[in-house]
Amino acid sequence: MSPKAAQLEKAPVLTVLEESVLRSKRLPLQADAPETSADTQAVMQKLQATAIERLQTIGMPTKKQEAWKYCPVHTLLSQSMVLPEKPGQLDAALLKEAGHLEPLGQTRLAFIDGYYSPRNSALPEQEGIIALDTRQAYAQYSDSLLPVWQQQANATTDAFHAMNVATHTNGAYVYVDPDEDKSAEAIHIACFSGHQTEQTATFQQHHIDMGGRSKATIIFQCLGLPLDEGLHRLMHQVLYIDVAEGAELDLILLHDDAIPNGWQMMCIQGNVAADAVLNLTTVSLGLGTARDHLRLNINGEGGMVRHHGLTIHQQQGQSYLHCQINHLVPNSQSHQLVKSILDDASKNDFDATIVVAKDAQKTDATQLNKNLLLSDKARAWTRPQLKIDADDVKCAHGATVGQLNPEEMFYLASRGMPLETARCLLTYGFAEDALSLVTHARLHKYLSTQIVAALGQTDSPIACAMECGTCKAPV
Amino acid sequence: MIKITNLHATVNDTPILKGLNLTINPGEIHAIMGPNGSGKSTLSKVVAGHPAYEVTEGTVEFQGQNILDMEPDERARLGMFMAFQYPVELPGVNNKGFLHMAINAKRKAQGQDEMPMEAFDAFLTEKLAFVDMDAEYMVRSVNEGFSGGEKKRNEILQMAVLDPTFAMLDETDSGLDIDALRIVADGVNKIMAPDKAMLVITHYQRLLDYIKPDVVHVLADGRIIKTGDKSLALKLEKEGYDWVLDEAGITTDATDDAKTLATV
Repeated sequence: MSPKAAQLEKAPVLTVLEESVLRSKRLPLQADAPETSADTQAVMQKLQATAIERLQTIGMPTKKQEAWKYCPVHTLLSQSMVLPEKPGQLDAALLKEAGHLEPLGQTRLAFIDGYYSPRNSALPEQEGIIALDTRQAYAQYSDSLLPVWQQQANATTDAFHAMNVATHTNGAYVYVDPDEDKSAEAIHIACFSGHQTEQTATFQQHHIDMGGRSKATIIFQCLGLPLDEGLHRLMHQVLYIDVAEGAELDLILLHDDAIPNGWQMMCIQGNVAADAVLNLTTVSLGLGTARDHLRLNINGEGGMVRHHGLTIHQQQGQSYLHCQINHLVPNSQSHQLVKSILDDASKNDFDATIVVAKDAQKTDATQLNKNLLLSDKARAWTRPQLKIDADDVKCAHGATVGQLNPEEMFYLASRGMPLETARCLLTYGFAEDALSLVTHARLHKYLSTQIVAALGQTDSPIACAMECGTCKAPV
Repeated sequence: MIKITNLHATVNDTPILKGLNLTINPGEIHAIMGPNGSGKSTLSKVVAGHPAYEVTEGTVEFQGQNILDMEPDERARLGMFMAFQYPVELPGVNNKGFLHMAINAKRKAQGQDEMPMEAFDAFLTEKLAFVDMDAEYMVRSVNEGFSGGEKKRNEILQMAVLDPTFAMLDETDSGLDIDALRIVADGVNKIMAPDKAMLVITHYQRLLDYIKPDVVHVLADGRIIKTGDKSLALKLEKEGYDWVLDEAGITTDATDDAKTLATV
């Protein structure tokens, strides 16, 4: 047994992280939520206690668990962290320079260190949409939100999720009325880290609720900004998605952390009803660690999930995707394409399962993971999996791990492209179709810009030509 | 324009070119024919700078400058071009963006201002007409999902856009139907000018009905074994390579196969 494993074996019941977070716990939402009734607060207190019990039953993850095998979670668990008392200063200049403050939608909900930031938000009166921070939402819709919380408190099997249930602060709540098409104007949810002088853990919960036959486009940014060198930070989000019958949701999730010790975790639980469509695009950039747990249930016939993912990392950046798509009824579809571009000593772990229940006949599912390694030290693990209990289905899965093709490099060079440009163009080309679910022009442009920057190409001719490629402008 | 002297090249330590000499002057079109495995494609790749080929001896001068120490992209920016026998597909790389970048890389190297997108649009429309190509191809990824003929047309389009001083066409006619062949050849003829030169590698005399060569060479066993005018191509088409190989006293394994093919 390695010394590290031995250390984990003997770890105390409470890790440093748990102990420090739970010590600084406040009742979720309470300090922020004078509007919630005494009854609601009492229920919340009870749920918090349940979640803490649940957390202690589950225990924090170790590398012995398959889902955490390649993830250096022990480095996080040994950190002492506090829940921030108040939001830190937001480095708006830096965000603006990086293009993150582009107005991506009329409706914006912004949070700094888990606290709602009215100054950075915009909630114009709009018919057909309810967009609120969850503090307000709990005051108004506790009947529908508390059961979700309760169910998670009792049933979660993920320790970080349990910790989130016990300690989460504020988040976003979006509801689109039935039959409303709000897809033309994106709804923008942004979770920023502020400047803190100590190590902080932020836990937030968000709800997206799509009424029957409604349509919406939502972008969710999770952005970790620079901190003093050596400091660790955890930003943990839980997102519940409900796509009702006939509804269509285009959802884009972006992780970008500027510090190597920045951890961004997201737990997504989604339900897709009959004839509903969830188009999910997940993008992970930056130098930190991004970890997504997706559990998507297709509960109604004709329901469809499309998931495209893209990871671009340099240095020690790493991404972990653990995904389960459950086909629970006949005649549903899921299509998953996840790509990673890994330079330096970065890592990517794709661990995804498509589950087809016994009754889910005529399921049509595809799953593909492609990894491009730009350095000898980069690592990709890939485990595309199918678990099929029905006998009349169409399911395909696959994975590739490779490097840039020297013949393609030569082809570009023979047209006068310098080596670095050729490399960048091919890398961008590899990434390009991962954005094909993003049909909203402004969001596509924003993501393309972020990707070009993540590939280290901000020179105008190259960036411009690549963006020209993405916008597919006709001659 | 281009002067190749005693060129020896290997791939994976196997000698392919074995002392090849060739001089092409401005305004000239040279054709190279030869059996399979004789080194025709190797010649174009070595001149273009493919990293898999190692030059073990000899020189290649382009406009008086030794290019063998240059990277392939530097050679291209000097005004050299190779139309590939098997054009590579570049998924996700937009055709128009790619051409715009390529022309600007060349202009930059020549000290010219970059061509803005608006000007490039007009320029590209004109060049598309050269090869009778629809603008729809410009919004697609480079060569992805193109038919064999479309890929070859796209090669000639790239040539028209980059306007090279010296172009090598490596079996551009293979896989083309008669109409496509004529369109591609017309494009090439429009690009050709007194200050330019071309090297056309082909198996078939048919292409040379459309692109008229000034000189025809036969390449076998890694060197040029016979040089003549267009009538040489006609004779090869009619009689195969046996007589010319016999004249040169060549009996290698590679050309044995080729001889069989040529006489089938």
